[in-house]
Amino acid sequence: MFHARRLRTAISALLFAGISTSAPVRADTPGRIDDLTPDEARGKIIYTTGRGAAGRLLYFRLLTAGDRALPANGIFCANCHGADGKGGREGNIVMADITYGTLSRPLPASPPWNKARAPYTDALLARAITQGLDSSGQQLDASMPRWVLSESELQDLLKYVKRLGSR
Amino acid sequence: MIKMSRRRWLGMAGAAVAVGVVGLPPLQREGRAAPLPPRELIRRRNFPNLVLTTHEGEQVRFYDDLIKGRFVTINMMYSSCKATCPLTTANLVRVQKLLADRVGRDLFMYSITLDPKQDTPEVLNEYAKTFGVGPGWKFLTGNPGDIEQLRRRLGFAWANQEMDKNKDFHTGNLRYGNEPLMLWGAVPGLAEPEWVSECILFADWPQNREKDRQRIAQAKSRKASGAERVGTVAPMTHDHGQH
Repeated sequence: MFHARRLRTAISALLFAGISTSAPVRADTPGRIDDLTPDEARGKIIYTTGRGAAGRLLYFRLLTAGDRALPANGIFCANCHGADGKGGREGNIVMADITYGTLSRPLPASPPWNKARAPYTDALLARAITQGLDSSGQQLDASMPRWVLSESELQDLLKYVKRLGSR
Repeated sequence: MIKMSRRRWLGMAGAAVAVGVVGLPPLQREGRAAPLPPRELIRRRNFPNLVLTTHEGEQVRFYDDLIKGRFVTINMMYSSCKATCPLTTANLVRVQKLLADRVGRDLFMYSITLDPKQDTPEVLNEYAKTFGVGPGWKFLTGNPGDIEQLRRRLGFAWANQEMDKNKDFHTGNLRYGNEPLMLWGAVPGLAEPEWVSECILFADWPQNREKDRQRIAQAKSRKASGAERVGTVAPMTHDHGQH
């Protein structure tokens, strides 16, 4: 037990050393911190503020609240899914991990919260964001806003979501 | 001694209790003060006259200044809540717009924070601004002990104590009512705004009933004609999952 822990510490020390020595090299390559394309940068604004092109206030529908779209004042992706996309839990609401590594692989059911689902594709992810259906066509939780986005806003957002967890 | 089965004994004990319940009240009442009028009973049970602070920094007494003689809605929220509260607030902003001619005039909306330590009047003021909350809707904070008492008295507590400890599980219901008429109800805060406002109007003053009926009928016909869809954009060109 004690040895195992010591071994793990040694490994993580090595890994950490590896990361810190490789950091200067990585800084030159794209993909670090805020090195976003213009599309991704616009997607990030949607993700973190709920505002679209030129600061346009976005709207969303709720599964329970009928056809009418509501203004997304104070409501945006990062509020629930986190700036890192890792999600979390609040009461009996699971806020999904939407890092692209997780989205792009199938998930088994995890009762009582989640049903099994297929891997997401871009089209399926677009459908989840705008219609609230998961990759297997099942309704997402009622607390997931069904977003009203223009095609370009949706594409920007998809591009940014793909960057979540890749940094 | 007569041997009695357990079931028979319990049955007889039950009958004795029933006789006691039916038989006693008239006898007891003679020795007591007159029963409280129902309005007073509801006030004592549900509306403690605690001092609260609004998001505009005003000190108010819960019963005297906010509830007494009024037609109101009450819900509980907290500003750092992620999923349910912001969606509910956004939905209630829509409800407020639907009832714009009433809110602040003879209908008052109250949102009480579940997190009074974090949610100072300044924080709540910022929250109200962010969501575009209009006049006639007060966000309320206060002493944590008072807020807890209020939460229980207003029926926003869970029977399950484990769940009740975690404020993440708070109920998203909107309570509405008319204090002098003693009409009280509740509706899910995330329900369709038209339906929420229709529910609220159930507790309206009698002289407004006819107008309310017309208002509800109009809203329904507008909805049926699709005239009031907001934020609609051109249909999406992405596929429906077939690829």
